[in-house]
Amino acid sequence: MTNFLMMLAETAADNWYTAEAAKYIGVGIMFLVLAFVSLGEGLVCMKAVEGVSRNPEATSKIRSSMIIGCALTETCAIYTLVIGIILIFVANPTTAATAMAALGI
Amino acid sequence: MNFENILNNNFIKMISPEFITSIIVMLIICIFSFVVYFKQKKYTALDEPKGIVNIMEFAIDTFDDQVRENMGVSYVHMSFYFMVLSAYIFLGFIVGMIGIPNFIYLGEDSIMNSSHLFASLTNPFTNIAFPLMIGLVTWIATQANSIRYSHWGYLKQFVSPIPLVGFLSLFSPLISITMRLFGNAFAGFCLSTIVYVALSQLFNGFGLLVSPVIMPFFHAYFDLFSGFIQTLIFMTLSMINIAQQGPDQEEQIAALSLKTTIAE
Repeated sequence: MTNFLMMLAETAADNWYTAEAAKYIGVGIMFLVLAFVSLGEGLVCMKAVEGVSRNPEATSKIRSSMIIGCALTETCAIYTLVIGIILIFVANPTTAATAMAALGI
Repeated sequence: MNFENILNNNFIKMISPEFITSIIVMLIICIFSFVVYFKQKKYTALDEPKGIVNIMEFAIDTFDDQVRENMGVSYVHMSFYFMVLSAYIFLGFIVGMIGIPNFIYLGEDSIMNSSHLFASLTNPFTNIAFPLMIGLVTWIATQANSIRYSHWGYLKQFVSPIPLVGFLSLFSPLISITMRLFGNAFAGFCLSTIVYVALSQLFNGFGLLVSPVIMPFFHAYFDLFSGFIQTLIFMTLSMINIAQQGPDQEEQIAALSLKTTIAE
């Protein structure tokens, strides 16, 4: 059984090292895009500060709306982190090869 | 009783340590509730409350105001659910920082090997099952309330332009609320653990004596701050999602005043 799985893994890529390298390169490209998340959070805080400057009496309501907005914007970054952790620590060429064989590719 | 045979069972090794933490957190909430109940029995309606009853009155007022603002007047009976839920999430983040030792570790050598007593309980939300369960409760409440007020036509919007996309948009609040809580808890746990392991490898184990200098910053940000904000977010999103398809604030007041006039 393990011999069969090793055969499947070898057909998926050149060798084990190529598949591992592709994994890490993919994670690196994925994490480049997180710059836009920080830009988005800066926009949220910018508008919140502007609102406070126009109407200092509503500070606490604006602050709670800002925190909710920041947490909603951070969700995408956290999805990226979780997928990265799964790719680095759990995914390996053997599981990918067995999944592809099961789907009939 | 033969404890070694019980603990060498394959089935009992499937119980993760976060499950034990979850049960201990609920026990703490239950004991606290009973203490507050027996203390408030001595007060009549006109006495001034002192101590813990005073604090709980303030907490109940805060949650009632939040529910009235986000959901409407006729949902005030649901503030109990949100109180217990927010206590569960916040205590789950904090119980590792307080330092209750991990004394029910169901590992292989848990009787002979007691080094697990130096580790604290893990945050239950680092296991994806627990955020998924509380997200499921909120999601089922959302669907039930929406079907109650919009009747079965509510489900048509999830099939309409392209069936697959609509079907996924039915589950997207569930997935986002689960992954937000899980991602925050897991990221904090990973980063804190990396620093602890690095410290334990220095100076042949004595590097951990330096940890009271460095680790408070990690615990303050990842456990206290992150836990508090995630609790707030979970509460607010749950409230808004559950009451979204129901009547507005004005329609609720109209419905309630109509009932009271009929009763009179």
